[in-house]
Amino acid sequence: MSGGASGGGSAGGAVSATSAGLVADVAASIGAFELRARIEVAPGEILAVLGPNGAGKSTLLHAIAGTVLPDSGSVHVGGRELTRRGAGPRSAQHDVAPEQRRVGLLGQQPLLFPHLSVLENVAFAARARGARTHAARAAARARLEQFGLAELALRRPRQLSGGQQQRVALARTLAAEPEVLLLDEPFAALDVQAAAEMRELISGVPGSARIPVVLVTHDPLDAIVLARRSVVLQEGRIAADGATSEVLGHPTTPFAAALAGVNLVVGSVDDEGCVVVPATPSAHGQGVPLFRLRGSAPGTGTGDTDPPVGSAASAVFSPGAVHAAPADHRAPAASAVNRWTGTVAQLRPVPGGVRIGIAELPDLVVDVPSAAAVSLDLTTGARLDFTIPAAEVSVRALPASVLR
Amino acid sequence: MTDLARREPVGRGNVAGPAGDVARAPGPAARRASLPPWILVPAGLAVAVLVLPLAALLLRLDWASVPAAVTSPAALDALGLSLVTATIATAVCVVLGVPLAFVVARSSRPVAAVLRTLSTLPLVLPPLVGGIALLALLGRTGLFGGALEAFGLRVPFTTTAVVIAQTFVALPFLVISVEGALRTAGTGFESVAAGLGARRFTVFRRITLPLIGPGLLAGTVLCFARALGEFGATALFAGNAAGTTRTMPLAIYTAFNGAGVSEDTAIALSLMLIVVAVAVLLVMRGWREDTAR
Repeated sequence: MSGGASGGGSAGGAVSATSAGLVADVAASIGAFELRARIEVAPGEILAVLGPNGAGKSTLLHAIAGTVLPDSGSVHVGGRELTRRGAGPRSAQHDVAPEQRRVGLLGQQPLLFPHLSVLENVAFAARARGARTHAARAAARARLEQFGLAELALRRPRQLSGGQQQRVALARTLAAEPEVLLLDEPFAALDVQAAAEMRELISGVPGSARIPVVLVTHDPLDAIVLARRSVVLQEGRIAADGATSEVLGHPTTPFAAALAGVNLVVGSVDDEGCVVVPATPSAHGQGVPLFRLRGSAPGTGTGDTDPPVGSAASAVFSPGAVHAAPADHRAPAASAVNRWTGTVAQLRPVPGGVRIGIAELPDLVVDVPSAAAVSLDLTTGARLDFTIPAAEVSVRALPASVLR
Repeated sequence: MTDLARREPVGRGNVAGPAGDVARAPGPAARRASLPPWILVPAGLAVAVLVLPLAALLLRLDWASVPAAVTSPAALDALGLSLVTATIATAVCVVLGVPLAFVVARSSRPVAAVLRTLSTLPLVLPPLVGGIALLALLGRTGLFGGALEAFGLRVPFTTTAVVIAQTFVALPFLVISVEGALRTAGTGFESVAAGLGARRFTVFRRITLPLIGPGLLAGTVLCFARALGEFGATALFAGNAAGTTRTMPLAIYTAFNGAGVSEDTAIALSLMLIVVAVAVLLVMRGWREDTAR
């Protein structure tokens, strides 16, 4: 295995439609749902596509594979036009049939042909393209060896474990020598060990095949381990696009924040450089009139890059960085920076502690270590003071695209 | 007897999804679901209903007269006609039924429901009604009968009519089996094959056909058995002319009702059909588990 994505394209690197990479810019509506997304992936690059269920991730992949035809837009792979659709004369419409696209698509289910041996499964693509049986089998055997699956060659798919099946399915997909590889939640049906082995195989693909790889996943770990660049797809739109460390390290959407396991608050910047969030209407006018956060965590814009007063900004902090204490009723609740009072709405066990949901700020969670939880005498409805050190808060100006 | 219901799954040519088989290993410790004892009474009666008539038939058989009865020219004529017409009807069913099964399996839900109901109709219809319906279509005064007559074509009471009647009653068996197999196989494998660069015909030949093979074979065998045993529609639509339309079932009926002919001939001929039916079931046996789901 060569060492993972070699980063043929820098983060967000431009790939033109005539380049060797994948450029998909498609719009497709299915019922009330509308997908409108553009992704570009360079050869040898793995792009992770993160998003909640129903965000359009699979539709995007199927539009590239040709099993879903977009309403408008285009798909290019290696400068080859696979789809061009949209307004205009019918002669301008263009769709390459799935079997001629050279797009490899691997989903959650390996879907190995049950009536063929592992070897014949891997040899299928070559034989379908007219290669001689002997040559196709020899090539398939070599590929199985490369994937460490040689000893399974003569088995039937049903005799393999789920992880083995999925690895054979990847070998079969790559044996077709695709010009782009699409992976649709390839680890979702695997146990932890099998997923790790599969992840290792996939990490070697860009180095050996030099093709663009699109990895759809709901697991941030996949993105962190495999992809230098990630996009977040939400409600059919690209909500974030950038280096994985940036997309997950400083999320700009609640989904990405939940994915990364951090709290995200969005508000405007006041004259003290704090992100100010208006109290939620459900707070009955008492409790938390304002929620103000000042940040100085590494990665936070410093000095010259501080967001201007009045502009939109986001603050990100970890649930475990918040300190909780019994509410002090004499202290003024309002206007305190990095400090707020809230009512415990939910309590949920997490490894090593308790996760607190706050009634007034339903988007936030706070993790309290077990020992602290005991001394706090936690019950739902209890009033607590929460504080967070500025060093733990990362503040950013929000890109305009996020505030649709 | 209970063994009939719990044969070990035969792995061959399985058309189930990829995940179906791993979890099916029969644990040796798994206890048989316990049944209330009284259930054995109706179950035993059911077996009696199924088996006793055939047993009685065999007991009633005058074995000494069997060779003469089954080698008589009349019997051999009938058997030959039956095998030829049933084979042609089965071929017609495969040629027409497989494409219909594809259309049903790949249609949208409401369309598929309508098509499935229509193609199942002959299965639940009394064959006599089928015979009358065929006469209404192709009989001399029928819908198309007059037009055919103008061309000098007369369908009823010919060997062609026998084949048409058999096709009418047997087609549902093929359509249902193949459609079920196609539905079980799904389109996932075909889509994967296309993604790997296989053209449509390659996908059909190397993926679809092997996947539905067991279902297709079972459907063909059932179809043939049904065509072979067809009586009611044939009797009404094709008549009972020795040599041209008197198939085995009609020969049995004729022998049974024939003036002066002993019932033994009918029973001996029945034995021949039983032998054919058992042979058919033996052929199917190995494939049954794959399509029963």
